[in-house]
Amino acid sequence: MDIYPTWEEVGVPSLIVNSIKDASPCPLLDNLIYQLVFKNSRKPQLTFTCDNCGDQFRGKQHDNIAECVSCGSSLIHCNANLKFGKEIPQWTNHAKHSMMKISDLLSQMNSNHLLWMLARKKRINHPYSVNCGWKNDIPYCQFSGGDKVEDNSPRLCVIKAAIVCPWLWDIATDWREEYRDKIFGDHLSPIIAQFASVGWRE
Amino acid sequence: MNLLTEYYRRHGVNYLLPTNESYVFFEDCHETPMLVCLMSTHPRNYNTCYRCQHGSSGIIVEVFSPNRETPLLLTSHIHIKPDDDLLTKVINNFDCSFSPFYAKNYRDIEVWLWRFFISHNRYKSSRSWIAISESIKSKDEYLIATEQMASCALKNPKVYHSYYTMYQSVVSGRNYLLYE
Repeated sequence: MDIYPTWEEVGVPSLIVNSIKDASPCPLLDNLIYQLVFKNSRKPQLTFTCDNCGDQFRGKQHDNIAECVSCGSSLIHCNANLKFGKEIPQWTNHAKHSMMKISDLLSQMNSNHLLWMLARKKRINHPYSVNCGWKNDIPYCQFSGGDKVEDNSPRLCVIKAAIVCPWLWDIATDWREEYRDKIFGDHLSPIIAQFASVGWRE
Repeated sequence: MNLLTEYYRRHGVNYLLPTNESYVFFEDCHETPMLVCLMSTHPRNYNTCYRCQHGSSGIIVEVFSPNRETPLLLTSHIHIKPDDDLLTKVINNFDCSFSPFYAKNYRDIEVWLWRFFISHNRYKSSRSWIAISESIKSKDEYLIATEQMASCALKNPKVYHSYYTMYQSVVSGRNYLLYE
């Protein structure tokens, strides 16, 4: 009996999965890695703007500023946006690759796998492995419970293979009562919006 | 277990207490998404009035209904007290009867908002939408909605951007009120 979920069980359509496998090097892969693997989740960021003097103040979800600090006016309106909690290292124009270390990725995936096992009450001594190699001079990579990915760049191959693991999306987008206040905004809508903004390729 | 929902069920009460920075959905008798209700205090409300500008206390309830031109149409803007019943003060004032939507998890909220956006949008009668609907083979409601969203983002990014703008204005910085 296979203990890992399928893409249908975690609610991710095949269109998204295939697009990730075929994606060219882009910052979106970095965003997905830091969002899904390193758990840099989105959090609401509030921006309070004074209509009288134009000053702006930043705040978190439950902050409530009723008066402007500068002029004391109560003409304040607030806009909320979903931002990543921690800054994501950007791609460099020189190397066209992520600045993330593959060793950090592999160790984090190991931790995520253990976390998923504990959350789903699976056997925690289930062997976890990464299957890598070359086939017809093209590198391939596959994590336990994930899809097999082939790419001309070994580094991109490992990055994409880490993203296309259904159990990783299961713990990233799942809602449980104990995580309700911690995981916020981990819906598919923002992820789809990321791809749509840069011209998604089918 | 959601304590508020459990209290309503055990005591058989039919009222809904408003909460700051929260939102709740309402459906009609055919389970069609009809209303989005935002609850906030000044200055978190969506629209301002003369009472909001003077920083009046209480909870501001704003009800949005679907529209063919815009994703959200502000229907009412009411100031109520925290111990007022939302159903009596706001929802029952409409001509039709609406029932609150109880969500099991975040996925239900996402699916409901997408259905709210697409069921009253003129995009639903377009050829590209019909082609998207015919190409989907999933039977699960959540998978169907996510495939529609992904296909819409691929083929009509402006339409998806309109939905995502509505999604951000409703969900960002707020908690859903009624969980099962």
